[in-house]
Amino acid sequence: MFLSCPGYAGNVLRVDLSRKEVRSLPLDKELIRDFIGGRGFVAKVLWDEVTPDVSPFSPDNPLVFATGPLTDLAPSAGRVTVGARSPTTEIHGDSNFGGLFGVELKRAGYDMIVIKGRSEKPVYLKIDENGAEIRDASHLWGKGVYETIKTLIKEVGDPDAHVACIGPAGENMVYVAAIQSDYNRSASKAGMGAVMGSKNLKAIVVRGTKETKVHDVKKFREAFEEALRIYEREPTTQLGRTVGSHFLHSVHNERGALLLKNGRYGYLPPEIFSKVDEKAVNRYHIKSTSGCAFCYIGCERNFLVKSAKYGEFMVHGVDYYGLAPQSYRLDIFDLEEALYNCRLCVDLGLDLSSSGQMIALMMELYERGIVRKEDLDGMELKWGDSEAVRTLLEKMAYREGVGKIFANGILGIIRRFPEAEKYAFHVKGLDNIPQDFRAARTYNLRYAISTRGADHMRASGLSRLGGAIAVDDMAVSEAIKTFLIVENFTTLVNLLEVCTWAWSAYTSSFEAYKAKEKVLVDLYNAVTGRNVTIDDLYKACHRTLILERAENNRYGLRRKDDNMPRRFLEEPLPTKPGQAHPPVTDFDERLTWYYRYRGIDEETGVPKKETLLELGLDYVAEDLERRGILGR
Amino acid sequence: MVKKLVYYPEKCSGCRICMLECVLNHNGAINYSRSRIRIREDKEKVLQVAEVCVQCEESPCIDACPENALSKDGLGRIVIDKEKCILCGSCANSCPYHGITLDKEGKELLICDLCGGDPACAKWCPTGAMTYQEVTDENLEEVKTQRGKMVEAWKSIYSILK
Repeated sequence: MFLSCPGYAGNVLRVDLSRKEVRSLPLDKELIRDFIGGRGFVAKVLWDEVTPDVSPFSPDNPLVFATGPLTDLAPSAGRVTVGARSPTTEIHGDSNFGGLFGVELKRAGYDMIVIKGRSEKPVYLKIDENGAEIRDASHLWGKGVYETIKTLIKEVGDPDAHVACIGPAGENMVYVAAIQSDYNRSASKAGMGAVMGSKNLKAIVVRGTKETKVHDVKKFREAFEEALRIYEREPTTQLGRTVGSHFLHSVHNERGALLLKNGRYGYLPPEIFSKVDEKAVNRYHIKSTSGCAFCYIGCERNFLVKSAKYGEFMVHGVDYYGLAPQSYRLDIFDLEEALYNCRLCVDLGLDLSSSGQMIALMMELYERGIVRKEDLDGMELKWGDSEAVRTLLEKMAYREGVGKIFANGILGIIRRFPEAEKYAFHVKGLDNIPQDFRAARTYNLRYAISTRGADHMRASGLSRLGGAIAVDDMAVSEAIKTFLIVENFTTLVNLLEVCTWAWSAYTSSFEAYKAKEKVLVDLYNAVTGRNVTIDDLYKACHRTLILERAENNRYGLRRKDDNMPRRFLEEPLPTKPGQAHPPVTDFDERLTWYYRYRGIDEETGVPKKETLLELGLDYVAEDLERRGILGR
Repeated sequence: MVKKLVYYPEKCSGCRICMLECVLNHNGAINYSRSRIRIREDKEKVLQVAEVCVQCEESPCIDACPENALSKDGLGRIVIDKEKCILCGSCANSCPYHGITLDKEGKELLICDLCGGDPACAKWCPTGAMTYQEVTDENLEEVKTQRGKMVEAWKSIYSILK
């Protein structure tokens, strides 16, 4: 067992907002050994500290910000996982953001922040290498994200300080509220902004100038530069620089997977598509490239719109997954309208994707007569009406009128209009559906098995490993084996807190993927002085996945909750003229194979005892056994 | 033939790989407070600037030193005579590009030494924002335009504190 570990800052910042206390505690070495970093750390804290009686808005629900061992030390290593029990889904919640907040946190001397309690008055947290301080934020409460960040940078007097904050949506504990960092980065999923709001915590400002310790600088440098050479060779690097993730508009239109009119059509003909595709989007993009700490790509998109209607405005960090739900998903084909609504979302601190997706559902319900004018405070809600969308976004953020229904997420809509379940796209209460399941059946198992609800980020990169659709032609047992490679690698990327885009999702070939795998191990060993193999790291990934699952099992989740929205299982998806993706009929078989490979009880979806013991999760086995739910 | 650092703020993504390479080359440790190049950013305007010595022809730093501790060598880089330097910071204040800075402890002036003729920042810059190129009479005007952009970007970025 190692005593100290370079690469890590070595400290955890514990904040109790009720008692107005901040403490720095040493980072547990077993945590490093078993969970590596980032998302793994979050999983362990949530398992240890959130029992089923701790509700999402309880002061005891910890809000965790975790960096990884390669934060500050690898290409595209600016990621942070934020975790808490989610108000959106009431299960395991986490969300990830990039930028520079993470590197500053490590340089300030912390790997992780764990925030508990609830402040009486609005506060913000100021962190630097001399420690942390809870400061009054009354003057910021009610303010939008843009003004909040601007004011805080001025207040701390340092342009190198980085901010994570909430907007009005988070303050009002809206279930789709984001934590927004530096205008252009956000942890949007699973209502992390709402948890922050429930603690009366408006923002965290961080700045650090400490040295980040590295065990073997020479080997580290070799690995770092090798990683840069890999990126230099990757064709997706240039794609990322030129259009960011917006090249996916075309990819998904070609596949017929766009989810138009709330998932009833998958394809747009060229004359309409050209109004909203990457070429159209790029006309508003203001700089060649921009991105996170040490990123060789720079996929970030920032837009300047000079609109006759709205004047000149900017909107930052809007990617494919943010823009699509605010544009064609809502039948809006005017990009200036869509980008204006995106700016509003960012400023209100709303998740671009979830809020758009929910409005799409409501538009279908309105079209079908399930939701009427009187349910919408007297307003109409027709496809493509961007002003109606704007009104709803504001009502959502401030919980006004019909906004109260939206503010409780997609499950809130279903509770109010039970028929909505038939048309809603969600898994476990989370509605993140960037593309249609029916277009890629194996790959999109990822939405069902994700521990935080529907999610394309839990297994990302299959498209390039032989093709997302080609895998569907394999025998199911083989297809799921390929799926596991991708899930493992994506999880590793999350534990190390490097970027999914750069490291996993757009890896162009199997060779590139193997090269990246090797260089990550080399980086980790050079930085920490440990001597782990890729299999050791994948075991930590498996451990994390199983622990997150066990946490959910403890909240009551079972196999039935690893499901697919009804529409994907029952309706075909029309694509190009005369073509359609059939409904997914072999989903259960895929799920069973997944359980089998992961050591999960095929009946219940709960991890088996032998799996838990093999992963060193004896304490989890004991807990689940005591509750009488342990898998067999 | 004179080669100098020429920086194009409009191409910079703010990735800071230049800073990492700089500290690796000079300190063998990941300690950005000792970097001889610093990237400053205004995320709202999406503006980046490098604070770095660009081997300018005017060298106001040399004139600003009350102790005559600064001089220019054959590579065109500024050399500081540590015996003479009293760490007053006059040179740093005189530099329009903020290319000279005191380290965190206030014990050493940090300035680009061109890594001995193969500057790592330019070598590894992924976007071509930082270059090490020949500066001749023909392209001097263009180079000066770029330097002007650095000064403007820096002012704009620091105006967020006002």
